[in-house]
Amino acid sequence: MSDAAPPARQAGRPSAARPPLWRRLGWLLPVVICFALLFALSFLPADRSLRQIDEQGLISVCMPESYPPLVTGEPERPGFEVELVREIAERAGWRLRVSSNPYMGRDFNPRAWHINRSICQMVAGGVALSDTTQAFMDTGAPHLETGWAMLSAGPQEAPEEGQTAAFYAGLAGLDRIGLGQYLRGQGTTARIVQSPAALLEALETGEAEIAITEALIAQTLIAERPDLTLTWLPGELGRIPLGFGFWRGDLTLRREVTRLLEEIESDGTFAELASRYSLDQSR
Amino acid sequence: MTGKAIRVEGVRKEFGRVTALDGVSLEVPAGSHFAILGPNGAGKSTLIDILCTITQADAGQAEVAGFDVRKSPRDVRQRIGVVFQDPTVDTRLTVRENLDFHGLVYRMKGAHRRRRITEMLELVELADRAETPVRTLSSGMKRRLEIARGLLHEPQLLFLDEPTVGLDAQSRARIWEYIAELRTRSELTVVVTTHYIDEVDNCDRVVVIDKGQVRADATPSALKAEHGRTVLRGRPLSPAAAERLLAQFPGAARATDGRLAIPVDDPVALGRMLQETGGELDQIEIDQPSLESVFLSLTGRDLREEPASPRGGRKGRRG
Amino acid sequence: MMGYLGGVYAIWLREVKRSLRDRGQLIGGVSRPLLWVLILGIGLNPYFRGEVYGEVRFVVPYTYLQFIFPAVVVLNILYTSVQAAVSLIWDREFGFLREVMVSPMPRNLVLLGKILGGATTAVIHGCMVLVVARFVGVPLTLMDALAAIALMFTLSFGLTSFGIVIANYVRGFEGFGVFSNAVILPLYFTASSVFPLDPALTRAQTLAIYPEWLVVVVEWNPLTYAVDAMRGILINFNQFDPTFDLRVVGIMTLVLFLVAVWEFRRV
Repeated sequence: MSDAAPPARQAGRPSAARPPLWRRLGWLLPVVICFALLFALSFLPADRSLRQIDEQGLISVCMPESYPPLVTGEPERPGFEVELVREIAERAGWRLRVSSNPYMGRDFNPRAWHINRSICQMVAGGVALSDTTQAFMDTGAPHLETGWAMLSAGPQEAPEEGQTAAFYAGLAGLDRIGLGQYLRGQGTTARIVQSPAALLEALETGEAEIAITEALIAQTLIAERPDLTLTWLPGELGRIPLGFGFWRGDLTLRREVTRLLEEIESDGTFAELASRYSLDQSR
Repeated sequence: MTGKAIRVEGVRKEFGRVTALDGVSLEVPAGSHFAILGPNGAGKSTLIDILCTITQADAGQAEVAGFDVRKSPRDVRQRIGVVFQDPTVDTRLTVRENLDFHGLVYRMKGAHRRRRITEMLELVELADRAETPVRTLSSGMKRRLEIARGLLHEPQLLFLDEPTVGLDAQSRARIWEYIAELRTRSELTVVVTTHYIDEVDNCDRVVVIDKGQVRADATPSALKAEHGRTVLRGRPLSPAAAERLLAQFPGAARATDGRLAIPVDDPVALGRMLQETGGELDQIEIDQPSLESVFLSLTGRDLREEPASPRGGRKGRRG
Repeated sequence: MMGYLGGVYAIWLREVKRSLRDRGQLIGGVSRPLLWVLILGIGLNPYFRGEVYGEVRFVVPYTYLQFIFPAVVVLNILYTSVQAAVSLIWDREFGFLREVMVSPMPRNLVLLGKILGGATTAVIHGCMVLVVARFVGVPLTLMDALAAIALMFTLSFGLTSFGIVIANYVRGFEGFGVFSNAVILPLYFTASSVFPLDPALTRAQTLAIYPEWLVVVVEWNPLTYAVDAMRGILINFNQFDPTFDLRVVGIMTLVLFLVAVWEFRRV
């Protein structure tokens, strides 16, 4: 442990110069490497869901039989979601098989939709991203927003006391109980009708002063009747995100679909589709 | 500051039943180099700890740099530099980082701190090692770094507790060179504890401590003149011979190497003593008056009696 | 006091530098997210699905990866914070503590610097887990990340204080394995970190599923609420009342810090 020969004493005056920056921060390097390593590893594929679809070249998507304007069932205007999913499949190089599901429109609880992994890999056509849905499946980022909306002849902030509201439920997944409570609180009477067209009819005949329905339907209706005013109902009733549903753990598929969706949104295709179906997502 | 750098009066300290310091009083003039000499366990480190305000005395008063160690420890701490017996550098930091840490903790401003660091590194000849991690330094270099660190904040006093323990002869000599150089440079008061007798010869003043008490307090030469004796050393030929000699010469003591140390009260009688003991000792040496013999005559024990043992059951050095 | 901010900075910086230079600690910081998130998370992910309709007991609306992710953040913080205890034991064993104790810095500020340093390292290690958020499928906005970092800091401040309290009682250095097995993992596993106590169930129902002792341990473990608060921030899922979570974390941190201050008088 003896010291080496003494180093020659340094000449010159001692200076107060700081060491260069890279030298003072050099100790941070290992941490930076660790962060970079973990970040790189987070790009590993987490499962085989995407691989399987790529290998088969086919994606099956469960959708309700009819849910205008997202799914219409008309061949030349099949619906916004159908065209959106078609666009995604096209960009990914997959063929698309739509599996129409009669239960989806009736019940908002996905457990009652009678679907499983062998029927479809993805669920579209107005999947509300609620806790109920998320308890059952994994969901992507919302790309649409819906909720309860009101159509009225003149500008009006909320349903008023003594008014009669024509009501068409449309899609599942929305909180009808909450709406019912709200309307009772406002002192509005609800009259249930069976189709979107019946809503307009009720307004015309004076059977009802206002019409309440799911917001996307209301938007298509107002495209037909620009003289009416559309108002979103307040609070939680007015904001329900819609997205795609995936099976739990299908991370790679979900990530790929999300990526393609972002691409479709950023190059304007999404907006074009939306305007074709009179969907106003500008809120 | 003129006058006294340290004033200690009747300081006592007990650890359980063991009395480490038993009424120690001493004064150290400012600017002097002061040595505390004593065997291991004599209470040197305890005394240093009290002066450094790490430990509180049970009784008595101590003033360092004009401040009472009990009432204003922070004022004392700002004015002293300490090099402990065991290394206290951070081996995972570089040399410069260790010094920078010290400077910040002692509230030194940026440019001033960096200038002092450069100066101190040059003083202890570690300037070219500034960016190396301390764990790669030899123990001699680590000790030099600690001295540089102790001086960094321009203290009025520097305490060195056994600064050369565990170092090889060459490193020890270097350490004492730096300390000698310090004497020429500034008004610094240096207090050194050691049990190496040869290391205190250059000090202005020596205090000999044994069993928690001050046995002598004088300049090295005065001590030698007053207490110095010629000592006859030799290996007894048989245990019985040793017993006989110990009985015959009351001042005699056993050393760890198995030899006997017999003080020679009257150098004129040396010849007769050699005759008397010649049949019972071999490997005979005659030590001229030195601080070692001073110690022997003051405490009745040989400094080399006890082997240097590390304190407090510390483990080996890692990392 | 203000003059010693530089000293607090120095102690903080040293603490951070030392632990970031410690390869073993860095390897741990990287391997925990790897093992817990990438391996365990993926491995158990298929078993955490609710796709079988009918008898689905748990309604945790997340994948297992998402569920365990916030807990791994807490785990990494826990490890790093308690490692501050080891740092203090080392300082004592290898004498560096004396250098600090003989300096004019007030002890409380020395302690503060140490805790801040330990907490900073812990937050850095926690952020290492956040980096794999992409993999887990947790969308991380800037606000989420900042809120997570604030929570991480509060938590690690408390846990580092806890480490320092432990260090005061540990004489001699027995290796970090002891800490890991005796303190960290028990705390972690009983924090509802790897399995959920279903928030949709009443307490009676929970007790019907789990043995009572386990439920009680989970409920009394303050880390349960830290993990829950972290879940609330990162994946918007709470098993308990979020304000109660934050209150528990806050009080725990404060209490542990005060205990550390009390203990540090006689280091």
